[in-house]
Amino acid sequence: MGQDVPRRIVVVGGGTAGWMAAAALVSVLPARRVQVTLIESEAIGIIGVGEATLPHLRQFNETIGIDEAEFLEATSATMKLGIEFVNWARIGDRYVHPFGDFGADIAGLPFHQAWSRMRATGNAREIGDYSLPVRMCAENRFERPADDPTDFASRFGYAYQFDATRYAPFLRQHAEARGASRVEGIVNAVHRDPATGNIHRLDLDNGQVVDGDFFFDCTGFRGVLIEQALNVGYEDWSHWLPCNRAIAVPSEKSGPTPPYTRATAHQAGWQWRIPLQHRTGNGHVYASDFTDDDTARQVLLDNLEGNALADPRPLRFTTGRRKQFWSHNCISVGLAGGFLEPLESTSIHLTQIAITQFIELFPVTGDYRLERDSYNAHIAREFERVRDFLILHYHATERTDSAFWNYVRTMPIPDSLAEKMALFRETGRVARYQQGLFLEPSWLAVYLGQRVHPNHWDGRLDVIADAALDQSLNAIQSDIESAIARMPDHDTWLARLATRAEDSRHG
Amino acid sequence: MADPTRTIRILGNGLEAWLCAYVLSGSVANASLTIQIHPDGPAVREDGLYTILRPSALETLETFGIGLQDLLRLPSTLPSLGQVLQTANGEETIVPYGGRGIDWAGTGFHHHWLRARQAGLRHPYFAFSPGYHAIAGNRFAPPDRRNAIGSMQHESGLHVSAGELTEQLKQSLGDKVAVVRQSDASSQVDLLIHATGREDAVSASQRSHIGPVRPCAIRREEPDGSRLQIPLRTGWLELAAPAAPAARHQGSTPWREGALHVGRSAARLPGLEDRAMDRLLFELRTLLDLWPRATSQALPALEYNRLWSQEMDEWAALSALVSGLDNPRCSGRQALFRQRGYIEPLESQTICAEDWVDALIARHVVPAQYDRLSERLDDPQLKSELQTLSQAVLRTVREFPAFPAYLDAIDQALGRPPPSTTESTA
Repeated sequence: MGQDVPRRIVVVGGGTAGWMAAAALVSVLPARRVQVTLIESEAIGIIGVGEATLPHLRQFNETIGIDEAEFLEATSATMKLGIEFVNWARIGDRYVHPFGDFGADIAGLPFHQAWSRMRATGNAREIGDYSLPVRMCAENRFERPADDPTDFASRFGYAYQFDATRYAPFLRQHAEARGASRVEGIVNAVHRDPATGNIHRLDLDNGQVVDGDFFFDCTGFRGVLIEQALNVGYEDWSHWLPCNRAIAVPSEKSGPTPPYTRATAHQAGWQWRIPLQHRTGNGHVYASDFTDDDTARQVLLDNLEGNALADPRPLRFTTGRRKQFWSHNCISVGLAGGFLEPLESTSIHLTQIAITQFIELFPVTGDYRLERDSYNAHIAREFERVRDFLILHYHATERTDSAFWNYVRTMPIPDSLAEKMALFRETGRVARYQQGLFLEPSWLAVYLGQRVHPNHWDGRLDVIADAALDQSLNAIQSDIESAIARMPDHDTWLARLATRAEDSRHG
Repeated sequence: MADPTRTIRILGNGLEAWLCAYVLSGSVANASLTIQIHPDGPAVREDGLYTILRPSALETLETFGIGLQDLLRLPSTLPSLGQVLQTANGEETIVPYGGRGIDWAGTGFHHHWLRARQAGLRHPYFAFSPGYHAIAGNRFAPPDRRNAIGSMQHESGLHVSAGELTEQLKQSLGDKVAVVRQSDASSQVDLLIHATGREDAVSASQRSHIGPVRPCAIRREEPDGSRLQIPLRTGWLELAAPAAPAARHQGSTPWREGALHVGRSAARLPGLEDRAMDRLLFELRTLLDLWPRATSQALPALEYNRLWSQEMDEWAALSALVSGLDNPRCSGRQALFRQRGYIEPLESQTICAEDWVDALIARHVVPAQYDRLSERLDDPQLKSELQTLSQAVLRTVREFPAFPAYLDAIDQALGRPPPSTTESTA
């Protein structure tokens, strides 16, 4: 059935994006269809910003045949139920953007509508008290979601917080075992077909030559193929997302391991805290127009919860995206495709969809213009919707304590976001989209967490008595508390998993 | 919280208007809200356009309090499993509602079918659906866990008399809705909803005698469009559907300045007559979701118009496919599908990628290439899976009662004699 010639796919760059691409291609597509070669150099380090992930990564790992327990062990991963935001709307505020719904529909209407009505009369607790994953974060508990969809404990998702420097080597093993080959070297020259403009050959610094039919640019910000060779251009979004630098440092663990990532707002940016099994990842993302590098470094070091384990490592970036993600016979994946700060842990997710969408549109003939156009439109939409969601975090603030916050609070924002915010303020409705990463519960978490409260609730609730709504809210809270009572704390869960893995190794 | 929208007037006297009144009355009515109907004609009009209720429409109607049992009790109601497309020379393609094949190996069933077809499989795409064989064999069973095949479940819809449904809605409403006379119609209202169901050539309908009823509608291609033949228990309804471009009667802003146009007053969608109810329900659901609680309707209207236009873009593209007319979105989608069987994720609440796959394959647009993910099953595995599925489908459908027997059972359950005009099948 079908006899087309196997495509020689060359992946340039061996970080998380490169090895995710290689592993996915060889795991999902039949060996007779693709030959995958990955070029990387030991001399080029992995940026590895994206240590915190979104629940979608579980599906990616599962699809390519990765065993969860092996993955957790190999990458020193911990479990993640959401992101805690500290000091964003006001200094002292905190809220969690959880991987799961708030409450449950009441009378067929979204829970937050009923909550808004009860809140107006002083009869509702904080919205997070009606979210199972938020309460699990607060109590430091973890258990996988229940299989039974009628069980309240099934109503959340989870992701991982892992050591990105270990994920790529783990994927490399997986990919090589399934037929991917690795070539050591740095690309020195890119040769293009004069007639088509397609890339057909790469010269490496060690004299090797690598030919290919299709190329993945996973070279990070440099964009060795997509930009340096194909010059597709870059759409700069710095005016909306002014942070352009980061400084990262690992630190010693301190205290129990939280099942969530934390993003703490500072004077000119924010700091991440990502707890791993063996250490904590930290970083300060900041805007160089509003602070200097030394101050940013000091802010980071002053706010570590354990001793630093290395010298802080600086990174520079420009928020935005390539004007074309797929140009000629090359697609840009990971940081080569674009960069959005890791405030919502989207880096690895955007890498993931770039790869899975390509596989879905895997060229089966020599003419793939239609596939390319469809791909570019799809990935651009994903980037733009994430962008709007990130801008919301900055713009929906009441902070006036620094020039940075004054700028982001008052800056013009995309019309698409302005309309969404206005609609929510007036009606409590979250603008509906069928596609895109962040759907209603995510927008809701950030709106409410950042003090954007609706002026009205859904009128259909008016036929329900206060007492009935009160009872519904209490029942939800009770379901949550009884689910939590059955869960171990996060460290105990991780220890049990490690013991089971150890036991299975010893038969 | 006081509701600032106090008087709603609905213009029309057909199903669109009365359904609108029914939905609003059941969802947003309160002491301070008055719902009025201003009939645009002396009698309730039998609106043939809303005869077909697809499975998705039944689900939404249920959320509005109009359940399957209520609809089955209407004298003309007949269950349906899909549609038959009939070309001018009589060639038939059965297109059942939902439940066609199982997605294996992370890719859509149509890719597996296509791969097998390239290797010599003769089965039509839809032949892996219980609905297909039930329509072909004039059998019927409602979808039920007991007749599911693994994760695959066939789906059923209904054909109803829009006139009967309208009368039922009117009766249910009783005095909850005020009927406004022409002389009172000049008074100020907060929201005027145009639900006139304006008749146009596309939806002209007539009764006819075609033969025994079947559990499906028939769309017959004609030189200048098509004709829908819809069986009801009281006979067949014929709906002319001349090919014409989709039209937005109010541009992209059906809600502006205190006036909202729904249904045919908002747009004309030739070829999508079977989706008219889905479309109307989408409009009503969206209106409810965005029901204005502030004095100004500007923001809800802005969001409504955005969602409606987004949906309209998809309706227009599908309408163009069915009518065989030009539409850039339709041609782009068709070209990519023809090349590799891919439909991009759609930004639509009423149409999904599978709808396009069905519509294209039913019109003999067969992709040249299949998704290589299909090859995660090797050839013998694929053959075996397809054989097993095919056998399971046939075994399942053999258990379905003959359609007339099913109708008799329904009559008995409802305690009524079968309508005298129903023609029995052999």
